[in-house]
Order: sequence, then structure tokens, then C-alpha cells
Amino acid sequence: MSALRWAESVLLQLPMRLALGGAFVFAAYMKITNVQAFAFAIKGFKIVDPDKHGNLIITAAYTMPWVEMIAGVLLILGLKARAASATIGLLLALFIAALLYVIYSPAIDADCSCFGKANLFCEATVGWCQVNRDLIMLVPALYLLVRGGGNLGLDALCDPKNAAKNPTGDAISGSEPNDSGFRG
Amino acid sequence: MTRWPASRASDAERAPMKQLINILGGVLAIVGLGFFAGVGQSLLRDAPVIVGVAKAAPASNAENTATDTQLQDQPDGSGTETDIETGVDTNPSGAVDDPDFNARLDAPVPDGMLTLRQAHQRWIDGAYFIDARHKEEYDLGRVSGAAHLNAETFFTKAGEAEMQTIPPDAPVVVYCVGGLCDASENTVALLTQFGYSDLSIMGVGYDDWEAAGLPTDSSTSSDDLESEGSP
Repeated sequence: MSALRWAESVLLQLPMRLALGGAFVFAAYMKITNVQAFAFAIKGFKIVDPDKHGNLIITAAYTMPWVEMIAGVLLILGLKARAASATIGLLLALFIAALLYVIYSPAIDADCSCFGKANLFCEATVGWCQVNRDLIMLVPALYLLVRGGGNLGLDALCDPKNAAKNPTGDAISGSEPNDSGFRG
Repeated sequence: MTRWPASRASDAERAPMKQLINILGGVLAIVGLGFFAGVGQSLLRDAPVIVGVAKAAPASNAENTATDTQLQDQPDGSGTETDIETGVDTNPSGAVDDPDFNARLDAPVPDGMLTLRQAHQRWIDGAYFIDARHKEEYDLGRVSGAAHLNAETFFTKAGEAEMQTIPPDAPVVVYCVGGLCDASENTVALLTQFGYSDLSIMGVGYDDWEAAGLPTDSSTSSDDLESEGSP
């Protein structure tokens, strides 16, 4: 059982955490270094009227990249991995909703600015490619939310009770390892 | 075996709720931290982030003719005029009297923006052109002599270098892909902050400029044009 958990940690949870967390840290870095461009990108989505509620756009432009950054770093470290993956999952859901809003509004032709000026796998203009990319990222986010960050993270170090319980907890249910002394 | 289901049941009674609260608390903590980090970053920035500022100064026709005549005195204009002549001569649509060509030039634009004809006139008169599209699009093709400046590059070294080449009191025309692209307006809003006064937006996009057979550059052949031909 323990071997299974270790295998899962090494083969699934750690790579997922590094990939997802890395993607979010990179995306956040690109946005933090150019807040103005990200503010214009949010404005371009035309969800909020910039003339009436421009302050909302500016707040979002400052806050969202930092939320991505913190969640990404926590996920890479494996600290509060489930809260971090929940945050990332919520962000992805928000992004997908915004993308769908743009896709189904033919009058809007916005740039995604998902990774700042870098375009990973997709072109700059919003399309189904970005939705698919976000859906793909949602898979590891949900997996990590359910299963936790695995043994190779700070969560496991900080939680000796959890580690002691592993031999029994593992065989029964996915959420079991986190039942006691769950930290996030 | 008897112990497992029992412990599992007792766990199941209280654990999911506890977990949910824990996760929600963590999410809120992350969002709150992110908010405060953003506030901190906003205090460190020297230039305020702007959105939804006033539109570019409307270019009424009377103003246009006034600036146009004034511009023709500029010595730099002569170099570009030859460029434009060759550009129009090679135009496959032929003479400027071609109704198709005129329709392209006078295509309707949003209020306060330049039609293609007005923009072209300004180009002849030596106005500075700014391309606010993506760098890749700019490299593929741009209005001849146009500088590349948009929100992505504005606060970078490349953007500063482009801005250095444009005096703040010079006439500037900004364009992007046309239609509902915001990039021109955004760039104009940023340039306004830096004291640029004579800013206008070309209401049609680069594709319309290119389709009308007006002079363009691409990055492969642009170096000499940028150094000597740009207004």
C-alpha cells in the first residue's frame, strides 16, 4: 500500500504539481511584470465596463497574477497542496467562463493574454484552443484536489500523523490520507 | 477488517465537512495574500495602471486640413513622398480614380477615427505611424516606416527606444487590426500620459491598408527603410 502511494506520489502527483504549478508561476510572472498589458487584456474581454468600473479591472489586474503565483508556488512546494489546487481549479473555471463569454460574443475579438505575451500551444487571439488548454489543466488540478499533494511535498513532512496512518488509510478511499490532521 | 469500516464511518461523518472548510479557508487565504501582494505591487509602481480613459481626440475634418497643410512644410516629408508614389504606381488596381480603390479609401470608420484616405494623407505628410499589433504581425508586414508600440512593449526597453524616435508634439497615427481592436486606443491612452498631443487612430486595420496597395514594410527588408525612409 505504501509502495502504491509512493508510486502515485512519484509518478503522478509530483509531475502534476510541478507542471501545473510551473505553468501558473510562469503565467503569473508574465502578468506581474506587465500589469498594464494585463489590465488592457481584461478590458478587452469586455466583461466589465471600463468607463464605469475601471477600478474593478485594475484590482483584478493586480490581484489575479499574485493569486496564480502564490497558488503555483504552494503547489510546487506541496504545501497546502489541496487548497492550492482548489484555487487553481477555481481560476481555471473562471478563465474558461471568460473565454466562453468571448467566444460566444461575436462582436468581441480579444487577446487571451493567458501567459502574458507568450503564447503556449495557442495563438494570442481567444479561441477554443485556450478552452481546451484550460480543460486539460483542470484535470491535474482536480486530481490533486481529491488526492492531495502526495508524499513528496511539505504537506507530508508537516503531517506525521498522516504519514503514520498511511498503511491503513490508503486502501480504503482517496480522501483517507488527509482525514486526520488535514492541513489544507 | 472490522476496525476499518468503523473508523471509516466515523471519519466520514466529520471529515468531509472539515476538509471542505480547510480547503475553503486555504483558498481564501491564498486569494487574500494575492490581494495584498497586488496592493503592495501597486504601491511600488510609479506609473498608474489605466483603463477606460477618454477616447483619442476626435479628428474633425477641419482640424485635419489645418494640420495637413502645416505638415507639408516639414522637410522630412519629401523622402516619404517618393515612397508613396512608387507604392501607388505598383498598385494593381491602377489609377486612383478606380471606384473600388476609392471605396477602400473611404470605407466607414468609427467616430473620431481616421479613414484610410485621411490616414494615407497623413502618411504622405510625414506623420509618425505606430503599429499596436503583436510583434509577430508587425514583423510580417506593417505600414511603411511604422514603429512598434503597444501595451506589451510600452514599459520595456524596446518600447522606450521606439518612443525616443517620436517627438511628443509630432502628429502620430496609431493603428491595429481594425474592427474592434482596442490596442490603438490603449496605446493612445498610454501615449497621452507621456505628453503626446497630436494622436489619432486609423479606423481601419493594417489589412485594409495593405489591400489598398499602400506602401508597407516587413522585417526582412525594413532596416534601410527604417533608418532613412521613416518620417
